Amino acid sequence: MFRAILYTQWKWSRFPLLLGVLAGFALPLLSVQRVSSVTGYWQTRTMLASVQAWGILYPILGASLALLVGALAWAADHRGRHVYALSLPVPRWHYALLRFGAGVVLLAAPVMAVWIGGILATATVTIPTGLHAYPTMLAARFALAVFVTYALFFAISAGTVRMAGYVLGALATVLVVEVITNAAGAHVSLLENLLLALVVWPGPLDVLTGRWMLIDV
Amino acid sequence: MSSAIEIRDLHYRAGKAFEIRDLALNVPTGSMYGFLGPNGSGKTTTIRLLLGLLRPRQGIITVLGGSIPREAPRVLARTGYVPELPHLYPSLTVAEALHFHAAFYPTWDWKWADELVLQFQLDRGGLLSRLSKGEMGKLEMLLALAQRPELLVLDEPTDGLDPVVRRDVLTAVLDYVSQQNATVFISSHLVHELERICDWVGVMDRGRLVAELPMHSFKNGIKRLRVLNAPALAGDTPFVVLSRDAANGSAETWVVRGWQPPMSQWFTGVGATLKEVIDLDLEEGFVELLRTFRVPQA
Amino acid sequence: MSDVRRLALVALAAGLAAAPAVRAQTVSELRERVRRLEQAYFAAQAVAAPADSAARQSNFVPRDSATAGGLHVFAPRIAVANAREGAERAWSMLQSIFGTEAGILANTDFALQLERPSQVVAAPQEARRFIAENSATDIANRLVWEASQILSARLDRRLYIWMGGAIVPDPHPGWLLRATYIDLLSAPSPAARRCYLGALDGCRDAFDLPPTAESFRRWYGPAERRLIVQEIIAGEDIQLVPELYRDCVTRGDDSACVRLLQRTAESAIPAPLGRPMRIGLVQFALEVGGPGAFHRLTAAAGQPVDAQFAAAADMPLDSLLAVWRGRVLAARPEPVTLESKGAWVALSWGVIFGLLALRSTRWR
Repeated sequence: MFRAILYTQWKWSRFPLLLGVLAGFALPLLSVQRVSSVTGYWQTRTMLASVQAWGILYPILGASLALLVGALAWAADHRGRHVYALSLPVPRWHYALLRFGAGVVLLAAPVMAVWIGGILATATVTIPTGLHAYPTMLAARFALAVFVTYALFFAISAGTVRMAGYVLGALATVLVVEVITNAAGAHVSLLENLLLALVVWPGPLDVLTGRWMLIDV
Repeated sequence: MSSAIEIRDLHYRAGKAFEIRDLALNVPTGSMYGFLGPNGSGKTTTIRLLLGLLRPRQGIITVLGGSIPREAPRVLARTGYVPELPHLYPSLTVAEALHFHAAFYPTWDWKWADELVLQFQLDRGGLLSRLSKGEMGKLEMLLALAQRPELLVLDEPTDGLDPVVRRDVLTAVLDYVSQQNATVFISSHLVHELERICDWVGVMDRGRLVAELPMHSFKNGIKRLRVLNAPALAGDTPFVVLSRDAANGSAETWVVRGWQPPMSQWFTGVGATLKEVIDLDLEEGFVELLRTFRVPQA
Repeated sequence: MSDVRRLALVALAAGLAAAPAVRAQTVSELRERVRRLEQAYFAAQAVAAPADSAARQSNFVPRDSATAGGLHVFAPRIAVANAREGAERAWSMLQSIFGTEAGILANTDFALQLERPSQVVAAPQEARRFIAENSATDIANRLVWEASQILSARLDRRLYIWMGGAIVPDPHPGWLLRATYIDLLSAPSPAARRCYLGALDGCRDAFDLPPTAESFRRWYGPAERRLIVQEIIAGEDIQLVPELYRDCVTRGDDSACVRLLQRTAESAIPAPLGRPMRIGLVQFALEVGGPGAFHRLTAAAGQPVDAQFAAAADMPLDSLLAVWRGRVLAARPEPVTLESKGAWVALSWGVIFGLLALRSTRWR
């Protein structure tokens, strides 16, 4: 059963996944590419700057992949109004678990690519004294970021149109309340606080923020 | 006689425009039950309710002895379902769709599935999104049959198919039923199609079950009578008067249900004369049935 | 800010915007331009100040005052509780760096002008005014900054120039040590690298202690000088002498690089351990020297800078640098990859969302 689900999900999301694997593998290599052309005392600063600059792309890659795989897991069922999925002889939670698990397994591929790319990248450059390579930790963080965002988008995609309406309605209400209170002279930043609650620890998207360093102190 | 499907006091509402009210339905085990009704009468909704795809407001649904929706997964494992519209994943090929479907059914019969692929002349490598309507209909039927179900629920399975494909599909169903003694619940608005294969018939209109009876009663029991000097009030007739229309002069045309020849005596008793008894085919009977059902509500 | 003042500054900004585009200008032209802009600014200030005073008079509010240690703050009544708490926090921070010398702040009154709502207290003319929001934290930070300017003004001028700014106690001192670690490790300077590896002369060179005329010679070798010319100060003074730039960058002639750097403003050449680290070193000396350190530092004004350090820390400069280096190395930041706490939280969120998804209803 799981293999069948895994196969369908692979078929639906194989193009973004393959791109993700390529990007995940290339990112660590690209992040140290410039370093090899720099020698002497500039190397440390160049390495940190380069690794930090390229590091911005890890959460973007992870979140994009997670979004695509999470949404694609349900897209076909949404198109068929879930009739096929619901007529299969498995409880709904079991079906959702199979789809969730299949996505997690598929997303392991780009995570592995980041890990292998990181190991290769750090093996190909001379790391100055005082700096250390963290390919495994970086890959683990990438895995967690992908897992959290995938779970979030999967849960959103698993919802009904009605639920999406409730969520959008709640957001619209927050926006209206904010506009009205601000017009009345009170400075309320509900949306900003909502966003902060998402991205600041212990918010769910905190794992995406901060510096993503393949090589660090 | 045990029931493969039993529905009691079912109530379902979809928005303000449509509701199913006080629905009671009984499908005997081993029967071929034709579920008739015009478009929009609630056939598909009833089927989705009995498969646990929709949540009823109230009522009891029992399918293959299991309560729906509580035991839906167990029931669905023994039920083959062909929906009204294609519901398979269009990005899969025929072979992939077979493998996907087979993974969920422990009773899946690969040998028979392969035979049906040949019989239906399906291309294993063909993408579902590129199959013709007829090919898709055959594939849906194949998937429902190859899992060797005890109950086949077919929602307008031949709608829009050409006569050749329609015959292929129905032949496959009949073959299966003859081998397996399975119950078939088949909905359609094509009355003639069901007339040939069903032994029970239920008629649905506007969310309510109009009639449920054995096919032979349905076919033989509905007659058009030409009556002279008909009484103004036809109180305790031994048959059910579905409609009566004034014809020329003192003649009237009655449509009755539950007719049997000895009942002609009743007209003599009330001073009327039965001039003619006309057999109605199933479609005419179906139309008359719906007409009488709708009159009081109009 | 009053309307008149705002108008004056807008006029100044408009003047800036309307000025001809800065194109192929020499340094002397740019300096002349800066001078003219400064004149315009001061003229605008002269117009705006009386207007501001008049505006203040119009919205003076009843005052109250808060005192904590040597800090005396006039504050609008609605802010007096926060002013008191802020002053207490500020006093504590000031004492930790300036020690007993912070007591001289008792000679100065501070007047809090609230930002939102805009309120100005009536206060003595000589009171030092500062603007803050009505929160204890903001008031504390602004008070610390104001008071630090007063205290730092007592420092030896050469030391002040070497530092490049006032000593302002930091409520979160840890970040500076971590930033210093990064700079010490990554600065493209042989001196900083020697310091990182444990050579105290490297630390002296990296800090330019005692200050020298051409500090870049202490900081950077020929290869680094060339890259500094190429990467950092190219496009500024370099345009004046393209032949020197060519000799330095293309031919790798170090003497050309040195001559170019000699012509470059000192502030344009990046120090391996810049202003925050230098101020941090002074703060560290004060911390090591104890409560009387700032007093000894001001008392040593006029002595060589390294001697002033020794006086403040009550130990030779090299000993101070050794302790400082040890502290910096101990403050090595956690590599920003994955903290276990963050990992568990992320994992938990993933599981929560997964469980929510499993509740996906079959009723569509």
